[in-house]
Amino acid sequence: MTMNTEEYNFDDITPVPVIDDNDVVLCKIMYTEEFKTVFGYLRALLLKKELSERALYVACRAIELVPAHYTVWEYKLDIVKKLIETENFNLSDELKWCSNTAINNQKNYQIWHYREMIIELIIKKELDGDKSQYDLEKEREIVGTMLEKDEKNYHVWSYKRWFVQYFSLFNDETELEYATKLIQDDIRNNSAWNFRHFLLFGNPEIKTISTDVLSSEINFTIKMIELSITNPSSWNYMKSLYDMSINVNYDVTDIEKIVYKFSADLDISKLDQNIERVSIPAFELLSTIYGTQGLSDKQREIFTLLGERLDPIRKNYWAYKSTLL
Amino acid sequence: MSSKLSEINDEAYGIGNITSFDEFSVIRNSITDSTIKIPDFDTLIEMLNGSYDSFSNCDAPLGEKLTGTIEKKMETEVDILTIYEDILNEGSNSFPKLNKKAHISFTHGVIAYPLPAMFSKLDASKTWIAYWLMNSCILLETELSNNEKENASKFLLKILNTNINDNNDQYQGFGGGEYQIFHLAASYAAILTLALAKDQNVWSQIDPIKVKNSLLELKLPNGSFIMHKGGESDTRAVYCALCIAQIFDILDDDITKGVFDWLIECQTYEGGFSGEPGDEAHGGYTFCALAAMFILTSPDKILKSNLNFDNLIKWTVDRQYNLEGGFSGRTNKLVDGCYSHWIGGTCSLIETLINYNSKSKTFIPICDRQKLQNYILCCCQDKFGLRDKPGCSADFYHTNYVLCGLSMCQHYQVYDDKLSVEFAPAFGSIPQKISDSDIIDIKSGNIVSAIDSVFGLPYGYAKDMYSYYHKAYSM
Repeated sequence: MTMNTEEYNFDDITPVPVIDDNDVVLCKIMYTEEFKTVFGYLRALLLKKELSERALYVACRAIELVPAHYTVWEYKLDIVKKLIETENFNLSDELKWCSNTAINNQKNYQIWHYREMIIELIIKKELDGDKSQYDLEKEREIVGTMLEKDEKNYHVWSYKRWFVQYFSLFNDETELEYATKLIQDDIRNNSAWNFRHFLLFGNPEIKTISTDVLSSEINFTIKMIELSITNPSSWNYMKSLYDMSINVNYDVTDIEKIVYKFSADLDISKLDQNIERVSIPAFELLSTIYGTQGLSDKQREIFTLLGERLDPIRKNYWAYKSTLL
Repeated sequence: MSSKLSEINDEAYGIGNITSFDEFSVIRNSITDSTIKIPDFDTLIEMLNGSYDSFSNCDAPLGEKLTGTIEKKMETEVDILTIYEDILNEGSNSFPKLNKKAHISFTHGVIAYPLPAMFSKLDASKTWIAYWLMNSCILLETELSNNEKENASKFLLKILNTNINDNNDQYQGFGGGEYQIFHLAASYAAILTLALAKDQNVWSQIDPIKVKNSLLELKLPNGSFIMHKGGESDTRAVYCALCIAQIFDILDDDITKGVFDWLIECQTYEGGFSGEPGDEAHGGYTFCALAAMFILTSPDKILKSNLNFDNLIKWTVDRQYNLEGGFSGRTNKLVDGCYSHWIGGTCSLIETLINYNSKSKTFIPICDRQKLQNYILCCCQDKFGLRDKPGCSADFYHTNYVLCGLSMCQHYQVYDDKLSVEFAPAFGSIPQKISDSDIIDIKSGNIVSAIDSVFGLPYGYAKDMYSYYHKAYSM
C-alpha cells in the first residue's frame, strides 16, 4: 500500500517494517495492510524526527487507527509546535479535530490532555498570553456534548476540573448553574456533585470556608435529600458540609433536623428494608452527630441496628466501628 | 428489559414476580437440613433481601424520579437477580464452581496464538496484554512453560531495545509496544511480566541506574509523576513509578520526595482518591494511592499521617452492593468485576492497617468476602475467561483483575515488621489463606494463588526480582 496522496509524497521515506520475521507469537497482532503502511511510515518519520505537514498527516491517520497511541500524540504535539512557528497553521482547526476525535472516542486518556496543551498554545501565540480573551463557551459546549453522551465520563470531568482551575472559575455562576442543572437532571450523578464541591470548596488559594456558601449549600442539599432520601451522593456531600461546619463552629441545627427526620424520628423497631426504603446514610450521619455530642452508647446502638438489621452487606464494617468506641 | 423499565413508575416498581426471601428459605429447607450451613447458597438468599442500595427486590415505592442512574442500576440488578434466582431454584448443588479448565485454556491459549486485527487498538498497551495473561495463568495455579517465558523475554527485550527516547545510553524503560516512548504504566506491566517470567538473563540487561534516570525525568516539582514525556500526571503514574523503583531497589529521596503529601491532596471529601486533586473518588485511583503509600512507608506511619482513614474505609465499604455482592468503582455507578481487585485490593490494604493496630487475636474483616465471591463465581464467568458483569464478554483485563479479586477473597494479609525492616515496607505483608468459613467458604476447586496486595502479582514474585537487584547492585 502506498502512503502517497495528492497532497503529500513519501517516496524519499523507507518505512520501518511493523512486523519482522523474528517476532514471537506473544502479543503479535495480525495488523491490517493499512495499519502496516501507516505505522511503517510513522516509525520512519519518528526516528527521523521530521516535524512537517506530511508527518502531521501520518500522525492523524495513526491516531484514527490507535486512539490510545500516546507516542503519536506526543509526536503530533511536537509537530504542531513546530508548524505554528514557521507556517500559517491554524490552531483552531486543531481544536476542531480534537472535538471530533473526542466524540468518536469516549474513553481516551490522551485527547483531553492534548486539548489543554493546544489551548495553552492558542493563548500564548494568538492572545498574547491573555487568558481572559479566550472563548470559554467553546469549551463548555464540547464538555456539554460529551457529558450528554456519558454524564459520568471521568476524563471529561477531569478536563472540566482543569478548565475551572486554569481559567480561575471557582464560584463562577455559569459553572455553578451547570452543576445544579446536571444534579437536577439526575440527582444521583455523583460526578456532578463532586464538581460542585470542587467549584465551591476546591480553590487552593482560599483557605477559609465562607459561612454564606456553607449556609446556601446546606439548604440546597436538604432539598436534594428530600427528593431522594437514600441517595449516597447528596448524603456524602452533606457529611462534608457537616464536617466543615463543625470545623468552623458553624450552626449544624438544620443538618441535624434533616438527619433526625430520616433516622432518629422514625419508629426504629418497625423499620424493614423489604417494606420501605430506609436511608442508611441518614443513620450513618446520625452516628457521626452522636459522636460529636459524645454519646457513644447511642452510637453503638446505631452501629448494631445497621450491622444486624438494616445494612447487612456492611455488617463487618459496623462491627468494626463498634470496637472503636 | 428496557421495555419493562419504561412501564415502571414511582409507586410500583417491583419487577416480575420476584420470589421473596422467605420463599427461598422454604426451598432451601426442603433441600437440606437447615442446621447444616451452606455458606455460598445461604448468603445468596440474604443478598436477595431488600436493601437501601438496590431497587429491584422489594415492594417499597421508589420515592424518587426515575433517572438514568437508577435505570441502569435496575437493568443490571435484574440480570443478576435472574442468575441468582435460577441458582436458588435449582438448589445448592447448582452453585457455580470456578471453571478453571476453561479459563486456563483461555489464558494459555491466547498466549500461544497471534491476536486478530481488532487488537490493533491495543497496540500501545501490549505489555499490559502480556501481564494480564501471564498473571492470570499463575493465579489459576498453572505454571508458565519455558516456551511462554522465552517468548515473554524476547518480546519485552524487543520493546526495550526499540524504545525511541533520546539518549538511550543513559535511560532505560518500556513503551507499550515497539518504537514507542517510555511510559510508566507500560513499564509497570512489562516489569511485572519480567517478574513472572523470572528470566535473570533479561533482568541482567536492565540497569537500575538508567531506569532511575528515566523515572526522574517524569517527576514533577509537586512530588507526583507524569505518565510519559508531555503526558498527564495522576495517582496511577505515581503507583507505577513507585512499584518500578521498589523492584529495581532504587527507591530513595529523589524518587519519594513530596509524593505522600501529593497523594493526600488526592483524597476527596467522599474518602476515596481521585486521579488528580479535585477529581472524583474512584476505585482504580484509590487502590493506586493506598498501595503507593504502602511502598512509601510503614503501616504505623500511614495511620499517623494526614490520611483521613475513617472516610477512606467508609467510602471503600460503600462500594459493595447488597444485591449484586460485587463492587462499584464510584458512588452511584454500576458493579464491575474488575473492582474486585481495585476495591478488593484497597479493602485488603485497609484490613492490613486495621489489624496491624488491633489487639484482637482474630482477623477483623471489613468487606463481605462471601458475597463478593458469589458475584465472581455466579456473574463474572464467561464460557472462557472472566468478565465485568452478565451480558459482557470476557477480556484479558477483566480475567486478570477478577482473579486478583477472587484471591483477595480467599486470603488476608498479615503485616510483619521484621520483613519490612529486612527488605522494605512494601514487602511487609504475607498472605494467609482464610480458613474461617464464617468469613468465606472456599471450595477446593475454586482456590486461586495467593496475591501480593501491593504489586498485583502472585505472592513472592516482586520480592524475588527486588532481591536480585538488591544483591547485584549493593556490592
